[in-house]
Amino acid sequence: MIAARSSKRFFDQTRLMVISDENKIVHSTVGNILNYLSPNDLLIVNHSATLPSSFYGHVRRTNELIEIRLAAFQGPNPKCLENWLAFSFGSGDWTIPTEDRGEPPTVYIGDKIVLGEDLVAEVLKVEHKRLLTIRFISKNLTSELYKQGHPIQYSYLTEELKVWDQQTIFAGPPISVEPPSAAFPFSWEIILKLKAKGVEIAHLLHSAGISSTGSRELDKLLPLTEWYEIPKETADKVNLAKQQGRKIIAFGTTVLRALESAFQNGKINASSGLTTLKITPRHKIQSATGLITGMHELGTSHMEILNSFCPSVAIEKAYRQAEEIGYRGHEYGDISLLTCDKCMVA
Amino acid sequence: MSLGYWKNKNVFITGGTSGLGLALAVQLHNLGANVAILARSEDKLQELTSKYPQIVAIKADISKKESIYPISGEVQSRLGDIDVLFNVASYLGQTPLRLFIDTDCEDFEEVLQTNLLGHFRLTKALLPSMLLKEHGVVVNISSDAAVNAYPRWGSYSVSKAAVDHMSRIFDEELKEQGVRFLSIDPGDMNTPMHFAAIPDANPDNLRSPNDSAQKIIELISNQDFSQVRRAI
Repeated sequence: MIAARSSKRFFDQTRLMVISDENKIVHSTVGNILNYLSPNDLLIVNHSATLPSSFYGHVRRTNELIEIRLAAFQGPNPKCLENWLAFSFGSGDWTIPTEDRGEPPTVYIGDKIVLGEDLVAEVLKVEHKRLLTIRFISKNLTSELYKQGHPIQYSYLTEELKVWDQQTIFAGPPISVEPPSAAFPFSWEIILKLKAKGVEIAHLLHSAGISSTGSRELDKLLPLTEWYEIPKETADKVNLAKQQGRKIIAFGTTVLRALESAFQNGKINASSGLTTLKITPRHKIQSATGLITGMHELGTSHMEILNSFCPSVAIEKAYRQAEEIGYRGHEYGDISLLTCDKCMVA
Repeated sequence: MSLGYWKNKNVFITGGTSGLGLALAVQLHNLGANVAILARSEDKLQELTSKYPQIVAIKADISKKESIYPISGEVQSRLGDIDVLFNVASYLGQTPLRLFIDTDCEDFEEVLQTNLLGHFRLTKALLPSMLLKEHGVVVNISSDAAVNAYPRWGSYSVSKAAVDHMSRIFDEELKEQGVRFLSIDPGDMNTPMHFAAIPDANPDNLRSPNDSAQKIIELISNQDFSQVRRAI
């Protein structure tokens, strides 16, 4: 699938592929999403903002240059942005494909990575040569993160992103490292029309993590352990909708991961914490009946999630059609809506 | 509704280290609100937080587009979703005030960047929380210069007239979602800005910022949104 190479958003005109009951495939646009959602459907959105999560600095012990990219927020809550998983990168920057980047310097537990005059990352754990558990040290941490950080971006883009290019219309506390981008093509105009139609909206927080590490071996670890929070109001709405047999649509794979993580004994629990859940085709989705998501690369963890919703035959057929039509992939690309509640979902 | 409305409300005030913004910050803090303030001066922020350590202080310049998401990210990280936003920070333009024809285009632009675009951008960045929770109040501070054509107040007047209309449009578009807007003319107050504009003003004829702050707080406590623009 061709990549969307610019952050320009097309809102209503963005392509929308709908895979609905009985694996019916429709190609439409986001402006027509009202036709595919019904009164009393419940749509759950990710309220997190995206922090500029790429940092350049040097290892204090060796003075070697290094880039670290935050990979996932580790909690305990958005008031404390100290604890993260991160990947290290060597020479080069976002204009170079991540797999072609230089080897990063070796770091050890206790190493300090200096990222600014008032921003240091202390290495707490080395999960893999490049996968680190870090703790930030700063007198003014949140403002320093914004001051020193750059948006994580990849070489298929043709322009350098600004912090606002990475925010969705639902952005709140900054705990995501890459955007929960399924919402990119949406305007409040569309959301308010959905509400006027009777679609209910609820929200949660989930730290959308890094999508690519530059290493096939490390990519297999994705998604990493990520922090989420489901407010009581949202848990109540989901549980009521479930009791009443209404459709529950997760707006993005991060939302689905949070919901599935909090699902126990037939209901969603209002909760916050870290999730290690990996949604694979064998995972039985219990919390939601639908998903809005981007157009993903075959073989990625995102695609595994799609296959847990709809049979892979249906997904592959839909993606073949999408490629022929010219759908665009990646975060600024087109999107799909899966409402396969009669296909595989409990 | 009583002043108990403010207990545990998350309140964000731009221009919170002097004049009306400072008065709002202290009074709302005393009413039990969780208060965050924004200002450009580190010294003034430190002075306030040394007296009121629970008040969250954010140093930034609202007139810069690059500052907006760092501001909204920081305040929502440190305080949580904002219930009431007070857009108080204001720039008068070059003083002594000049005839509009003598006003530098760049100075006019700077006034609009602070008084209008800065507040538009910050409001836009903080509205998602309010819209998702279906409640919230945005208070923009206006002026009688928004409706009266006082000579030499050109840039400021135009910016405040625009603020009034921005408030009306936002309110019309979003009131059914539970988010309300007010544009408040707080009267002529005994503030540094007033003396910058009119150095020989008689302080006895000016209202205390504390009195204006109290009136604004009461208005919101009573949830009186019958008119968007108010002179108090």
